[in-house]
Amino acid sequence: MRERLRSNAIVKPVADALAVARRRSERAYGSVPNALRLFLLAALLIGVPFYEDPFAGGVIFDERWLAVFRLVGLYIMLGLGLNVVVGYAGLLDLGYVAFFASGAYLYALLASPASPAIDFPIDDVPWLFWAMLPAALFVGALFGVLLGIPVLPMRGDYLAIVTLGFGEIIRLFLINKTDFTGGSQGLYGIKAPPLPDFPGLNITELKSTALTEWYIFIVIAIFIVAFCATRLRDSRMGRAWEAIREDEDVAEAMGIDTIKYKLMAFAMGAAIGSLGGTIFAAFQGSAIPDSFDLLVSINVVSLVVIGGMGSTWGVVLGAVILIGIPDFLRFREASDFLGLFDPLVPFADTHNWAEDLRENRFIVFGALLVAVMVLRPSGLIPSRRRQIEFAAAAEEA
Amino acid sequence: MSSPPRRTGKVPTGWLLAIAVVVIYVGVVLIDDDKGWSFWLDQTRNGLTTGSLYALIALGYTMVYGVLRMINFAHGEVFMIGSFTGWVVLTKVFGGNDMSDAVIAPAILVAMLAAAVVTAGSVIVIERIAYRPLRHAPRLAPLISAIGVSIFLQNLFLRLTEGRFRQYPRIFPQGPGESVDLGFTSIDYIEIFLIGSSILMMLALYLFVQRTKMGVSIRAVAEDQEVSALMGVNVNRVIALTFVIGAALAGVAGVMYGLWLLNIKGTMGFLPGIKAFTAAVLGGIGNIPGAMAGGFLIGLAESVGREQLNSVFNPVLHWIGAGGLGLGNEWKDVVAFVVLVGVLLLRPTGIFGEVVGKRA
Amino acid sequence: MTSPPETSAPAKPAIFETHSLTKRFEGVVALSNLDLTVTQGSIAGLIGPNGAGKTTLFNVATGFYAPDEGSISLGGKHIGGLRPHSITALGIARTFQNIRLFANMTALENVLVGQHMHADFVARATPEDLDTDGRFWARLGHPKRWAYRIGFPVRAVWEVLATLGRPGVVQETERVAVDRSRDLLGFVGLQGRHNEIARNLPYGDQRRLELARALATRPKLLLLDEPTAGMNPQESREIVHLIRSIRDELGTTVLLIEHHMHVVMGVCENITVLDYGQKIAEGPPEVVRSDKSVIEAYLGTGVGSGNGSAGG
Repeated sequence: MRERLRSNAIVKPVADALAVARRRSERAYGSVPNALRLFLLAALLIGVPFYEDPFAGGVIFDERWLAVFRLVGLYIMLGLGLNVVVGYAGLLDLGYVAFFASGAYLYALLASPASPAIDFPIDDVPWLFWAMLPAALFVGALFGVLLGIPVLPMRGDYLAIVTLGFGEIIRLFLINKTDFTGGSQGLYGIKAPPLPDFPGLNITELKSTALTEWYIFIVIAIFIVAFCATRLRDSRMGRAWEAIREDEDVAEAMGIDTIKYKLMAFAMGAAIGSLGGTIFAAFQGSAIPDSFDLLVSINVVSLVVIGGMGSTWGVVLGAVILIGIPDFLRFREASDFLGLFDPLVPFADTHNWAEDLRENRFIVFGALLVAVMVLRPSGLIPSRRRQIEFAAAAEEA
Repeated sequence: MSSPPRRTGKVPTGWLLAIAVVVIYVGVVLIDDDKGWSFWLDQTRNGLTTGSLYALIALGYTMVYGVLRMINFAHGEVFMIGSFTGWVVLTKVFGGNDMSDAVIAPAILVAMLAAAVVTAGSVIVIERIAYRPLRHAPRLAPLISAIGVSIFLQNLFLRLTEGRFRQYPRIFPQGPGESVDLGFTSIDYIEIFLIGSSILMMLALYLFVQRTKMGVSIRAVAEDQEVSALMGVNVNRVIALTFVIGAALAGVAGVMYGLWLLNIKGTMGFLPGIKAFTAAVLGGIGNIPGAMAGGFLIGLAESVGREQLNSVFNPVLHWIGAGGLGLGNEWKDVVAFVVLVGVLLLRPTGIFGEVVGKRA
Repeated sequence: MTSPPETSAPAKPAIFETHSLTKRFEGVVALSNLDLTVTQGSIAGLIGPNGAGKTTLFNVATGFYAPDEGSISLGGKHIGGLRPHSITALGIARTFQNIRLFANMTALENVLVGQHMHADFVARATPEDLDTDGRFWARLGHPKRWAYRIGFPVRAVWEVLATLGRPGVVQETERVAVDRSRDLLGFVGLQGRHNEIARNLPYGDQRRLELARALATRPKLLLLDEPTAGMNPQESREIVHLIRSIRDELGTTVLLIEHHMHVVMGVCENITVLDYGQKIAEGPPEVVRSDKSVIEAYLGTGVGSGNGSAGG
């Protein structure tokens, strides 16, 4: 009774409102994003390292912040990639770390002095990093297809477990194939690639540090990746993915080569993951197996699901919550900020509970996943379609 | 004019396959002269012991899948909870390593019972909070929720134990000279205990499902939920029951794991969970005897398979000039994944052919 | 048995033929030595009691199941065992007994998915001889087919790049597809409902949408599985009218499964009756209506008592 009430009182109007909004913005083929709005947003984000504190002086977001932002940005990229696989095509891939690792090792094998693959690292070639970015896309896509082929006949739960297995196998491979990957030591000592100086932005007296450059690089990369992902979604290919997600048999009967398009989804997702891996190895300066464990896959899946499967802004929000906040909790500012709530927390005088929260973040992740699925299954910022889908499911229940 | 549907004789392919696996296994053991009999007997013994644990855990996957068509991703964590419950009972209540000989038997019994009760209780809570509200949701939802439960429990126990191992008391003597001599080989007490009690439990479960009224209603719900509900079966209760039975078996398996391998940890459930799941798929998911057979097969494949893979693959790898690619001990865990992918690709119905069809 | 296929006046060529087609499930024979011919440009009916194998025939014809024995051909090309999407490409489309729309997509998007093959900006046409006559080529694959396969990665990369860059040819293809989808929606009577979510459409409109989606694949042969199931007389009359205009205006051959006898007798020019996977009668409505074995099969006075379990 209560559930029916809820579904009628809340879900139905939401779905209706969406339908109305949709009718208004008749999207025949691909919604044209508000280019100006996006441009302003990009400018705002790129400016972040240069914001000055009007009261205390100096920059608001110092290097610690930029390091966090950089990591969040990386995960947004990974999330956008996995979103193609999980959100668009509906294939739950729990082994996404495999592609992340392939990109990272691809770069590290060439650029690390510890690399067993070549006698000397080609780290004196300034354009190596830039050359490796398209290479990473290509190799990632190839890996995506290779790992995709055996799982083609599998659906849902089985796909999840088998891809999970692939992720683990990759990690075991990285640890055990000492003569190829450097074993658990990993490949280290990669020189930072020379990023452009962004001279135009260097008008203030602030020095454009490496971190600033990385930050700007990643913001731009995210915009490009998000643009590509949206284009893929609003296309014939995206429609084929949607059809496969809704009903694979019927999609096939409508003339869609489901094998081809499932492999395409794996390839696209993997390419983006691999690109993220190369960037990660470059700014980390190393690639070690420990960075590529199950947790990466879980993080990425969680942020996509919590943000809202299929939704670009959902991925952004998911990454900020799951990756940004735990790191932020390490900051003094976080303790100061949370300290304001100390009177409300019974054990505040004995515990540094900001630190507690950080250390227990995976427990919180787990609970969040369950809570989101039960209370708001379409995620925090749902994509239109998911919202309809889950609303309908709630109505049937 | 019209003739009734003709039935062609149904070949028991499942049994043929199972027999073929055993024959190949024996053949492999017989042909391989280098390592000798006792080595293979050791491997077999070891494989059967692990296999009985996998079988117990696999039953939970298979039963829940049977009624809900859902993989309980958190099942490995239920196994872990059982193990920790047993540890608490044995060390805090019965004094751990200082336990006197007289209380050993009751202590183990109490530990197992407690583990069964605690896991059953926790799985009821899990089902209520994380699964039941999602029973009619799109298929991805309960799966992700289960992954959430799994992450939650794993990290909760990691935090509670500060990420360290906990040690079971060494109740069963293990090691050289501490085992039963059978003439051609020797077998540890704990192994006898493990294999024996798991077979007993599996028999009991089989009889329960086949002979009792509750068992019949479980099978009815597995067949068709709506019709069973119309026939007066309380579907919710039956679903809860399958969760509880599966959890209790996994809980007991957790205690046995602790008694055997001694060290337990918050992440201990992950790999056995995956392998038991593989066992359930191998035996035909939804099929109870299949899960038992699958468990033993995976256990054997794991302990024997790696050795055999090495002796088969190494020459090949050398030949193609990749000699260093030999499989180290760490690759043991990969066997299960390979079996899983292989089964799903070649015979998705499992060897005993429960029809999963395209729902898989 | 009534008439063997060759006597049924071959004035027009056959578009769809099966020869001793057999399909078994777990020992149950769902289709047994079935010979069926559908002439080009006709509206043919397929009737029979529940479990007679009607839907199984559809599933074999569209590639959901591979036949166990016998042959099945469309316009002279063997299609038995091809994957569903290739069969669709060769010109068979279908609707489903229980409506299977892409429920969370709009009406327009549903039809656009049906246009998938024809909105292909990469390969304007898939090689015509996807499968050829003759067992040898069918097994090995035609050289052209191999050339097509080997070109797969190149086409895939081009497809991605074109999707991202969206050059004129892509926009044009899409625009044509959208226009055609609108026309089709109008044709089935769903004007102005393009942007409605499929699951929110009323039942009858969902049936129409499914028809439009099937038509979007530009079929030579349209298989309709109980197109008027669950409809009131008024609605079914409209659907019958629509089926007629599909044949008359689009020239599509129609083969339909139906339980409503007045619909079958009213619209079909040739009717085949199945029972237990076998053809028990065939001919124009008036012949079938008075056939003794048909009456027996429906009323169950004959040998066959109890229900077949082969799945209808």
